[in-house]
Amino acid sequence: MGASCLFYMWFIPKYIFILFFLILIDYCAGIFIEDTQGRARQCWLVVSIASTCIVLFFFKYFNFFNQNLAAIGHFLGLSYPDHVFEIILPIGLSFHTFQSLSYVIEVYKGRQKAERHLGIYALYVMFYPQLVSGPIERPQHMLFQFREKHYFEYRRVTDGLKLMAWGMFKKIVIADRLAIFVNEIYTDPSLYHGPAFVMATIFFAFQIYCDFSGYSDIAIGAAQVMGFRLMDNFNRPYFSKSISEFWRRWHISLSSWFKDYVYISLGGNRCVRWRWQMNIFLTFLLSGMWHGANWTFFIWGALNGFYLIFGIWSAYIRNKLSQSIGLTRQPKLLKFWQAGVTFSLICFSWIFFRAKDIHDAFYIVSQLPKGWGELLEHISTQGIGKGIYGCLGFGTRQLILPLLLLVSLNAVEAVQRHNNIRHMFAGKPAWLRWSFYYGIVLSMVFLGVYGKNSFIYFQF
Amino acid sequence: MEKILSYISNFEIQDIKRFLSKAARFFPILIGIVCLNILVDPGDMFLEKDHARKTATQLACGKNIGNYRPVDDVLTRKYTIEIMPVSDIVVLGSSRSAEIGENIFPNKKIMNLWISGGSLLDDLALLSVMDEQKKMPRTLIIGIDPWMFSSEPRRSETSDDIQKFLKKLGSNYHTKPSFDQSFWIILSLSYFQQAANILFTHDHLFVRRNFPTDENCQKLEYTLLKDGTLSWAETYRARTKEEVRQLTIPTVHIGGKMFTFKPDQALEKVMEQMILYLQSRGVEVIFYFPPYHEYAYQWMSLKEKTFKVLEMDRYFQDLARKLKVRIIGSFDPRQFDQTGDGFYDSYHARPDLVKKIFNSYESSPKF
Repeated sequence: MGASCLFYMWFIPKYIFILFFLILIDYCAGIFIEDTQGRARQCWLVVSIASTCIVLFFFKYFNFFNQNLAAIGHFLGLSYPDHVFEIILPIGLSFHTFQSLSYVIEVYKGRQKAERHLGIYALYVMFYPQLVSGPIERPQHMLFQFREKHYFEYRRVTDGLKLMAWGMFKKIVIADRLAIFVNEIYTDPSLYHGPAFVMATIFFAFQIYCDFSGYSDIAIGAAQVMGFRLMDNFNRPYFSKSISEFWRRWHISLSSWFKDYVYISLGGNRCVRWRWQMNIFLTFLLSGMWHGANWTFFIWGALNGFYLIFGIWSAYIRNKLSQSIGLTRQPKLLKFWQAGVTFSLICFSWIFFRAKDIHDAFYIVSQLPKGWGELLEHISTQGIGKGIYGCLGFGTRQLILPLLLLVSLNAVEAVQRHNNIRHMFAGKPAWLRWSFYYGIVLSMVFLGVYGKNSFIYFQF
Repeated sequence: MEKILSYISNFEIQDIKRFLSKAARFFPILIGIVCLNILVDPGDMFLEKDHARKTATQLACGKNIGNYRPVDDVLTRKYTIEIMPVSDIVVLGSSRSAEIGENIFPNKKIMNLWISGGSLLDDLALLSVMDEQKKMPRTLIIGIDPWMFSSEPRRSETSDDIQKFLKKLGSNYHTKPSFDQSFWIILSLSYFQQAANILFTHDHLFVRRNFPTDENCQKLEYTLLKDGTLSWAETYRARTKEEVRQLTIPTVHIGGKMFTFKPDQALEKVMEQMILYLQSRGVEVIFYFPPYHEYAYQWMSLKEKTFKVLEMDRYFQDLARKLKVRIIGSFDPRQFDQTGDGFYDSYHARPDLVKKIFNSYESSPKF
């Protein structure tokens, strides 16, 4: 508990009081919900959800809504004070508020007993490995663990440390190296054209994956070292063959949160077809807004919702088409094609996620088809190296390392399809295992990018 | 201790022992990092603590310093002031002001005390030493950079100098407590990467440690000339106009993120106090605005983030007018008909352009 407080206060110490306030409200609400009946029960649920959401709204969305209302007011010729609060978002606010909401809803639904020990409840919200960026845990999975006695077990500790090392490798070596290129191009898109945007967006897809899944691995590994089990948050999402599969494999704890508490609450698929599709769309819109108070996230969410609905509409035609051209007789080719299309669609949506603002995002989209002729001309007249440099602003030598890292990452992930790489190495000779461990550590030492980028999801 | 151990079962003790023995296998990597950091020591933090004094002594003997690396240049300049006689003109600023020297003022005793990424706090440190040593020049050229008000702590050695001078100015500004980096840098992985880079590339340790110091040393690498100006490495000098333009595209972004370009009211006040103090001591203060590459300037004029550069430009122009400080140069290269061939990169003008700028000002500077 002390470590969690220290960890949280490391960023902005005074914000710990907001966290304590939320913990106290939800702790009391949980007990009152369990102890009361009828309308009082509902009242406590509403108080708890409202107080949590008000804090989230104030810090995360107030300026956004205020500015947009001011813009509408200005458009209608009304005077509206366009006041912007200079506030910094408390770190991990979106994560721990969702975890708190999950607790009170579960208590309300009778699936979880209210926690009577304030310290244990506080630890459930504040547990430092997952405090700032998840995984967003459910009370049924976590609370009982805080009552267990934890012993030092060699296998568990070393497995946790290996997972942490792999997470750090993904973050420091891959994500932060890709960030150099992505930031360069997305900082000022007006300097670049299609090829640079395609490269930067593909790099960003892997940057955000390695950044976030790297953090999750570190969090899960750190908890494992201490004897706690956190849920998996990623399962090789870029190998998905459809958008719905992608969302079952990407940020699993958040996707399942939205599924359980938003999508199902809206009626899920147990309703008429148009309503079901509307539920999907609304869930993704909310998920987009959860990521940040910016229209780019709104469009990103909407786009993913649209992908899913379009997937439902077009399922029959796509199946027929695959059969008619014989793709169904080539299952491997079909899987490869589906994974490729899914990856391309996800990458396209990442443009909105990464762009600084809506203007930049649409500019990048409009530029995607442009500049390819220029690239080919540069390559044909100046050779590959200078041609790529002239068009992208990066030399081929600079690009080789990130490309090699991406190939290695995908190779490891492909292997993990059948077996966890840790378990694969477990049965191998010591020299092979230790070569791998040393390889990971040395590549972090030599190829890591230090002190440049914090975790992307810290901002949410 | 016994009480703690009583909570741990025998199985756990065995597991802990096993774990520690395995963890110790990574110890050689840690030892390797520490050894390379100390032995190669790219920032001269451990082995060559007197590197700054040696460099200053060589400059005082009228020698150029080959293979120059601006690592501890605050200290180098501090020792230079201590050793050198009083100059007619002293130049303070960053590497963007590093070309102002004897080539522009052939008949004057000039010392350029530029510091890589130099800020107002660095200027204060050096002025403190000059004042202490009674070596204030007749003319002081202050190179203006948008990051002048960066309050990043420098090496601990100059903190006292800054604080002493602030007291003289009547300022109650306190510098951030600077810390001695040498202990933690011993484990720094970015320091290790620099060390490995030196070891594995042409920038060989032997060459770096043994800098040639004669007047005509081969200027393939950076050379600090005896008047304190910088002769750029051959790779930079050989760049064509087109190459510089191409390189400007990616580097302007890095430049935009490199420093905090924001006004700081406390440091603005210190700046004013500093100029008034200097003027009261009979020192003519001149602001020199080093130009940016045309392309970089255009980019900065358009972009929200670097728009702050122009804000800072305006602030310093206003300050100069308010305190009757003469201005030479401009961030805007178009004022000197520049189309990009007068630059090494996005920020650094070549000596010919700097000379042209100074010559374009009638009676500049007046002595």
